[in-house]
Amino acid sequence: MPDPLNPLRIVRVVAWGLIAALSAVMLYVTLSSEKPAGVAIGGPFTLTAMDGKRLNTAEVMRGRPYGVFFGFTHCPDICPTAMWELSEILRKSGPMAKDFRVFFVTVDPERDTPELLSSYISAFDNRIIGMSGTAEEIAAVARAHRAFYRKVPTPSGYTMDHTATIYLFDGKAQLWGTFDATESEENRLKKLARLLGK
Amino acid sequence: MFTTIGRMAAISVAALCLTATAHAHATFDIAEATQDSSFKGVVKIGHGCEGSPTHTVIISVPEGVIGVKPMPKSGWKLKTTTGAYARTYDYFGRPMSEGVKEIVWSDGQLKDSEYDEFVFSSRISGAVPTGPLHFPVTQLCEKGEHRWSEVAAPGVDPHSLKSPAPAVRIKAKQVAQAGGHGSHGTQTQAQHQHHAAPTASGLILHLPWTRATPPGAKVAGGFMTIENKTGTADRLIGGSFEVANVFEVHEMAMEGGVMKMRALPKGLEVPAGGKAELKPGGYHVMFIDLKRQLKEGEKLKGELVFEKAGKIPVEYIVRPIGSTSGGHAH
Repeated sequence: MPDPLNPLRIVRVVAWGLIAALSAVMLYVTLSSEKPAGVAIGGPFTLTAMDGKRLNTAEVMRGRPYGVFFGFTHCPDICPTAMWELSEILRKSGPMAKDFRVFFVTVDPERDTPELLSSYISAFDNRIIGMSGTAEEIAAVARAHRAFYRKVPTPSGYTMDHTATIYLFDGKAQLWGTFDATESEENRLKKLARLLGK
Repeated sequence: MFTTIGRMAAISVAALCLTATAHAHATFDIAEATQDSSFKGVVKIGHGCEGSPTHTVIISVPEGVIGVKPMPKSGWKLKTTTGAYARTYDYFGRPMSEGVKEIVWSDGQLKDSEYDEFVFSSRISGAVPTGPLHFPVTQLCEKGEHRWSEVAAPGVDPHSLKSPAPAVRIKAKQVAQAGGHGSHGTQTQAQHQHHAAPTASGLILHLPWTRATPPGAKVAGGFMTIENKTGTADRLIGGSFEVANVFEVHEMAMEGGVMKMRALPKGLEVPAGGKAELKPGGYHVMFIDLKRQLKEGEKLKGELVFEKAGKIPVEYIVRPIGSTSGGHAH
């Protein structure tokens, strides 16, 4: 019988609560797509890009679809794997995805400086753009995306819990769908092709 | 590829058993084979454990021995464990990347006063280096056990070992080898290092691996399967890695789209007679504050610390970024 006060269990319950909430919101967005006043997830944002300059996603994308991922570089498994898989999808999608971009928003701005993001992301497809900023800026962008993250202490420092879903936005910067971490590559390729209208 | 590991206690127990029967190690009937040719392995079991009858015999198949087929024995249950090889081998023109890695004959009855043989057919790949090739054997008795798993370190006389792993001397094929030598050389190196790893006792580390890191990354995860062949549970409580300042044992889980990672303050249990699997998306050892980038193809050393078994050396193969298993590139 699990201990009801076990912190992981609490985290799990809270996480499932968030998932339920996110699903409900997405369902609402889907159902109310006729009404422009529906609850918006995401939307354009401005953060500091890897070259240290401020970057507004709407100015970069100019009406083209894009993706957003929340991650951090002190992440041993899911982040490099997700970025590598994404790189493969971009590569396999060929020229149709040439103007597609994915913004990698760090949830750990304390450690992920633009320089570090730049060197880290150089290992992956150059359509992935690292974005950092102040803790408040990151919190605002994550809130707009209903993305969850939080700092968790470890014996040697801390790590981050974070939403590992890749958000997909259409040309109007409206949430169009997601790449789920467990989804097959084939599915993702089809999704991306549909998003890009090919 | 098995790294078999050692513990002084087990060696001393084996030493006690062996005082009376030092000549009767588990050995191969014909202890010679040739690269790139078939090999029929006959392991001879000459006695029980201090008088106690044998009920199980387990043979671990080293990397490079492919297409293994065990011979069933009347009165014994036969089971095999298959897994990915460290690379793909050519098996009569057909690529082969996985196969039998362990053979278990169990539920048998072999008295201390009797003798029996345990047989398998196999092929020695051309990638196996010349010299001794070890097949660790575990013999479980009604009371007690023998772990024939010691491998002589360089410069040590194998005859001085108390509980040596049965070995087959691999000879070079008598054909001039042109081309392809480079890749064979690499494999030979890997083989050599793995077989030279320290030995004896009940924990086996299967295929430890990690991933190449993006430049600037300060962390990496280490993965493997830890198998506990002893009758007591053990616990992975710490360790070290040659190019990291900090080492922790972690658990990771995706819960409804949220990635969570936790240090395991009490370490990770390796159940008696069971396994602990460290793999992407689950348990892993975490290398923190990396001193440099990890490059694909490297082999990096470290140490695992267990509550009971103590310190055990380990060597990780660095797989490409995006690899999901240690067996093959993505």
